[in-house]
Amino acid sequence: MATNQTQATTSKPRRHFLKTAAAALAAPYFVPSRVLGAGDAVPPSDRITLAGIGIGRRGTYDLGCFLDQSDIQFLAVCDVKETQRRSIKAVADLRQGNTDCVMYRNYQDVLSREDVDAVLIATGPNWHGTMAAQAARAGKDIYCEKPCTKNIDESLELAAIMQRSGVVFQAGTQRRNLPHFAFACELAASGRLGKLKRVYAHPRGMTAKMSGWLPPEDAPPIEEVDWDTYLGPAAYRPFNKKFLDGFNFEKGGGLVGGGVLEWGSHCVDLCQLAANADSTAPVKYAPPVDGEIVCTYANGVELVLREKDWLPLGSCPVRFEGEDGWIETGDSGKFVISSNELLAGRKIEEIGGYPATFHVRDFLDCVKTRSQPAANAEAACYSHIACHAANIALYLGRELDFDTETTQFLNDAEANRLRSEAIRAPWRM
Amino acid sequence: MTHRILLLTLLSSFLSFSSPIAFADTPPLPDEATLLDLLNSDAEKSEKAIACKQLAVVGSAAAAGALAELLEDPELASWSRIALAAIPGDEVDSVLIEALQKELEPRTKIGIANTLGKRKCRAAVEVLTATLEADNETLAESAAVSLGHIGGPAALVALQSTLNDAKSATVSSGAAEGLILIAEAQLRSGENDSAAAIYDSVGQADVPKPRVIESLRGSMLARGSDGVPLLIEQLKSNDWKRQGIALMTARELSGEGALASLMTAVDQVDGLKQALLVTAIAERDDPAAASMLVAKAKAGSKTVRVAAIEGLARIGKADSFPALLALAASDDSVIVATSLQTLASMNDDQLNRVIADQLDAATGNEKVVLLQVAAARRIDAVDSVKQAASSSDAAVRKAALKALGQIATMKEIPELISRVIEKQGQDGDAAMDALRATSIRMPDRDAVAEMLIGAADRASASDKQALLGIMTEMGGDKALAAMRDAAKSNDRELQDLATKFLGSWMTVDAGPVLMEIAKDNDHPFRIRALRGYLRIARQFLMNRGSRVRMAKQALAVADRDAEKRLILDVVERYPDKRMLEITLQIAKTPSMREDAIQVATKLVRILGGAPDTLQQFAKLWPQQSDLQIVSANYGADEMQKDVTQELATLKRIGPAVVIAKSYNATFGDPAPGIKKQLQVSYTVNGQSFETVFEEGQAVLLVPNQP
Repeated sequence: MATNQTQATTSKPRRHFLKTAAAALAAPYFVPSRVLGAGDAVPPSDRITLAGIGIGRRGTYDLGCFLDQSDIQFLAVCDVKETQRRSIKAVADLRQGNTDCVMYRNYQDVLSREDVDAVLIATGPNWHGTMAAQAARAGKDIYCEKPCTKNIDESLELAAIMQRSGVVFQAGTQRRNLPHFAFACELAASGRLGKLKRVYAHPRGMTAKMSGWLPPEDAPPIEEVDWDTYLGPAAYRPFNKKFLDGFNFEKGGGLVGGGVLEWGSHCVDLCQLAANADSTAPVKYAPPVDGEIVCTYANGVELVLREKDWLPLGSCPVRFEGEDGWIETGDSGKFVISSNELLAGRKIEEIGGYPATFHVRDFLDCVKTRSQPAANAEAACYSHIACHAANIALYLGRELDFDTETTQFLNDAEANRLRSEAIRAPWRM
Repeated sequence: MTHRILLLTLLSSFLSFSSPIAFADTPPLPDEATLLDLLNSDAEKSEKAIACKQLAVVGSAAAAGALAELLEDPELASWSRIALAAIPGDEVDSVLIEALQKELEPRTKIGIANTLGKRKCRAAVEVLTATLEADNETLAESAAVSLGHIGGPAALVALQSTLNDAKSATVSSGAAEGLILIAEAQLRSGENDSAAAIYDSVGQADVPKPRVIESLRGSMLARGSDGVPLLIEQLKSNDWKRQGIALMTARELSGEGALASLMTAVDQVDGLKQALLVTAIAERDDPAAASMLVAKAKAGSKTVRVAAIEGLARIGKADSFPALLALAASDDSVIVATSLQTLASMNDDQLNRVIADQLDAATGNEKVVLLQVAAARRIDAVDSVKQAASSSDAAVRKAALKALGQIATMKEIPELISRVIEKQGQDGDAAMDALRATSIRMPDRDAVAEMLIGAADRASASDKQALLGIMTEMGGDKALAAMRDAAKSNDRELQDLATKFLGSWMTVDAGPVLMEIAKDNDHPFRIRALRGYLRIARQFLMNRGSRVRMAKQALAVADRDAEKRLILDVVERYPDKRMLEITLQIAKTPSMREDAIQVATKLVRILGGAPDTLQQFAKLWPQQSDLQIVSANYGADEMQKDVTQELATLKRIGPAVVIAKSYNATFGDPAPGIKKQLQVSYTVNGQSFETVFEEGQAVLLVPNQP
């Protein structure tokens, strides 16, 4: 008797046993004391204790997802901006029904607290990698907003530090755990679209420029804005309040600006997952032609960063094309698919959509089991490498060949020099 | 070359922070000589900083001296080091080593020490070793870590000495980190024994706990299978950090016999710890662990059993199937649910054949499980499942019909229709569900639709409704044509049903059919059809032109305010210049005028103030009003500019002020690089209003702003 393609897939099922047990059992079977607690009513002593570092707009959203979980306790907020410290404390205290959230300006005071199990890092992108490294050295599990690194070398170093420290690291690329994106990636990764040919990501703006120095302005008092710490690992420049918009500041270290890293750390990351490439990156990067950067994996699959021709499916769209079918999806939660057969009897509406709490839940479960979450350090490392390499090709305006074993560009000294950038002392990765 | 010329050259390549330049405009980097001239000039620090970044890409040994001089400037040291870190060669190493021995700011020296480590500069071992004694703890710590990056016997000796005799926790932590880096390098090159000795020495030293945890991981990894006792010791402890590193290392541990040792050791812990270890072993993704998981799944603590069954989803193959089948057919609901989930997701195509082969002979609960798994895995076992659908066992029949919904092909659709229409068997609802699930899976929707249409002719009223529902879910030309015929039939009941289904159609091709009905003044459900048509215009993906056409066509047949309100919703959701005309039309209905003006104002504000748009907008105010501008301010935060005069003198079209160029070009830019607002106080026929416009919006000074 012949067999159909199975619904089982080539990608490894994630660890569900906490969830399965918690959902299926009347009493939670996996409740230890301290951090292994789970369930609807977890006593404070059994919750994962969390602190937030650099909690601005994005961090506030992340924090909301954490505060929705019954098994966390938010102990402290650290921010270089006083207004932000106060605002986050107010939110946390209100949600937790107490006044326990402690405010810090100096992140080292938070990291040295032995009663903090995990940290949410949502500083400006300039700080993400360095702060994650510091937190790992302090033994904290880490949920870190993206982009997580500023260059290729930092990406590799971050992954190595996480492994060495034995901490759980989840990049804030929540789409990996959003059902419709995960479904799309699974279709591609499992071969149900046929042999994969092309994966598409939307960079939403292609510029690669060097970060700069603006005219000096009078700096506010340190308690109001700690400028030196805000600059952190970025090279020195005098205070200018335009820099206080962390979203655009030093996100790419040597090269900043544009969406190849900013959005690529989401949509290129999804393409990596779809292409079963969590432990590698494309080997060839071409500069843009007609709004498209084409990168090629060693197996011939193309990663195309393109600006146009997207279906109106919301921001951060991705498209995966195989020999037998294709799927395109975006932040709307909807997707368009080449054949309903691929839905295996389900409806599109049954599959997709936000909220991003799934990603936070995945992280917290892994804190308990010590498993690797969906956006673990290695996966984040290589998706960031793909973005950085594409940005370097964009900046240099020439095709680059990349050796994924040595993580060096072939025959291009200038490109290799852009692989890393020294950070300001006293900080180090 | 003068400083100014240099600056111009640099500016052509420095892409400024505030004005992004597209890739195509990126000029080539300046050459090294130009950049060095700038470093040696009296240029501003900001310019020298950017020159350093560019030298990082194009600089050579020739730049080492000039860059080293900048290390003495605390504001430029970090920029200088960006270049020094990137430029290869002994010359750069030499200037860095020399600088580390100078009287510089501690921060600068920390940076230099870090850079020497990153460069893996062997020549720096001596100076870094001396730096371990620095008064500044962070500097000594950085030197220690850099020695770890560089490695080699001398670095090892220096770090071991510091570890045992560190003057602060910071320095001992740095020494430990350096040693761990050296041990890691040894591990990579297969020197496991010496790596283990280093890890052990760190673990036994008085260092911060994270270093102890890191060293424990290394001590286990370096010993391979012999590291398992240490791993179990950590797992048995009451310290979560030690338990945690044991569990993580259990996933990483490599070398001959490592898996076997771990499996043997599983029973040395119990309860939750055993469950977590079982999960960790499963996550090694080695099928050789499957037999252990099967054994654990069968008996013992339920916590461990669940973890083992979950683990089989990752590594289980067909030979785990008999045990899982028995578990899935057992009495314990948790074990059953977990086993079914595992059977559904195991990645082994051989398993499909095993399941298919067992289907015919199985009975009772076991048969139900096999059918559930066949459905979940979509195994091509149609004949066996069809046979089971006629079983005398109701539970088997139900499971079989459900499975058919997942695996039946076009060939089985007539049989499923017969079961539905002729009530074959006693499972009408289950058969209808199977028919639905099968139909919507089929790629040839039209062929399925033909079969369903044929069936509908001979079906009961309730079955007919269900069949039309299936066609609605499927979509496709034939199904739509059938629905149109039903909607246009003379059978009121059928008209009612068909227009309801058309109203929930999932593709835009239902639009013309709905419009056809909406235009039919005699159709009893024309209003429903129009609303269904507007649902498509509001919610579905289509190009702008199509949506404008739909809105216009809807307006032509809309005679009630409620539907006109829905048309305004379309306009609001999809701002487009062509939609403005539609809004003006709706505004002609007196009861809709206020709503239409609100929407038109919102629309034009978003679209901006092109003169032809403003001309159209002004048609909403045919009578002249007395409009006076009281005050106007343009800016952001405290950076405001009074633009009352400028605004008052601009040309107006009705209530709209014509801003021919940008806000900045018209009013000047009081806050460069920041998004600004225009705040206007004005009176219309003596009544006062105040409105804020975002930069770039059309300035519409109307009485009631949206």
